Amino acid sequence: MKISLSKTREQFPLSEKKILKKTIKGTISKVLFIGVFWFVAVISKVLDSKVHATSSNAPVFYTILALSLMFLICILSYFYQRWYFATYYYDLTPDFVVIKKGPITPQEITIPYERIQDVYVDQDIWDRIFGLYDVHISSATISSGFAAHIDGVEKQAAEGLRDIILKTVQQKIGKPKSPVAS
Amino acid sequence: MSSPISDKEYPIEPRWTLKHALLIVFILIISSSFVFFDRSDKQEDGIIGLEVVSIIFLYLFISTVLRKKAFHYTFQDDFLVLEQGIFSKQKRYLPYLTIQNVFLFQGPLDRIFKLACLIIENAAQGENSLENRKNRNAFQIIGFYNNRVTIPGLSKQNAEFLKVAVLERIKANPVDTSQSGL
Repeated sequence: MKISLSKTREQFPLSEKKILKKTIKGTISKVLFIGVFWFVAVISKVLDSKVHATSSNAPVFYTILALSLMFLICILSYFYQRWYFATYYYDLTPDFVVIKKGPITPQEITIPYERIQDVYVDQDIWDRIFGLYDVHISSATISSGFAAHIDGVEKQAAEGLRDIILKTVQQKIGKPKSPVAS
Repeated sequence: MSSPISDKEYPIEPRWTLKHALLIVFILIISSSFVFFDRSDKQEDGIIGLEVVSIIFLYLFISTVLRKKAFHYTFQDDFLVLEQGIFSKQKRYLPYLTIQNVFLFQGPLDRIFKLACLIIENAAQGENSLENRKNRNAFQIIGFYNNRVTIPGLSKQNAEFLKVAVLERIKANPVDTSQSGL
């Protein structure tokens, strides 16, 4: 799959671990949900057959069905995440930060450096497990909160992105430093 | 002085109305199906429900058509000038130097109809801004509301052109370095 590379993504690449992390994060609740259904269905059938003293192939059928469903969800999710990873685009141009994501319903946000209010780097529990970081770029709008972030980079890339954005913001809106009184 | 860009040259495509009508039908089918399920034993209520749904559809569809007709934008050199309102007319002058971010968005129906939605945001906090925060995904509303200007139903090519035009104007109207960045 062709990766939509920019100079910034080449310099500060997304980690391939992001695909695995998002696949697991996205499928674990669905797999557990199917597992619970499978367990309840099999137990009820086993109890039923004991009460009526009959034998049934239903538990085997349920097991095959549940495993197939789990496998299908994992495979579909994995390929979707690979596609998402390949179309993930971010670029720090001389005047703007551009972030584009979403293979099916693409959304692209462009923020002028002068409007960036802060940059913060965070990790949720899955990021901690996989050693990944999210770099958030805040402007004064609500949309920037959920659209303007580059997630799934390793520590070095996250620090590099943070430094380069903050440096450019400083250059664009900063004044020469004056010594602190007292 | 560059010539102004307006909705006359880069219009909201007529097929956006059709897309919006489909969206309304879809939402009405989903919401009315709950009503029909609840009252499945009372056939008369079902018939009244259908009439009500048709009236709601007509109201939403006609208001969308009128709002589209009443909405105008012009990219002047210093301001983005916007007009909207069917009965009460509103005109807004948005200086390019206050724009916080530019958002390009394509929903699933936009992909089918080959449309794109351009959203321009500043940091304005008008009336009902807290309510608007809760409704952060209300992308497809046409016109301006609080800090957001939404120009939906553009062809992909026109949306890209307008995005570049806005970014060029932001660049041409730099912020005074003594400002905080807001």
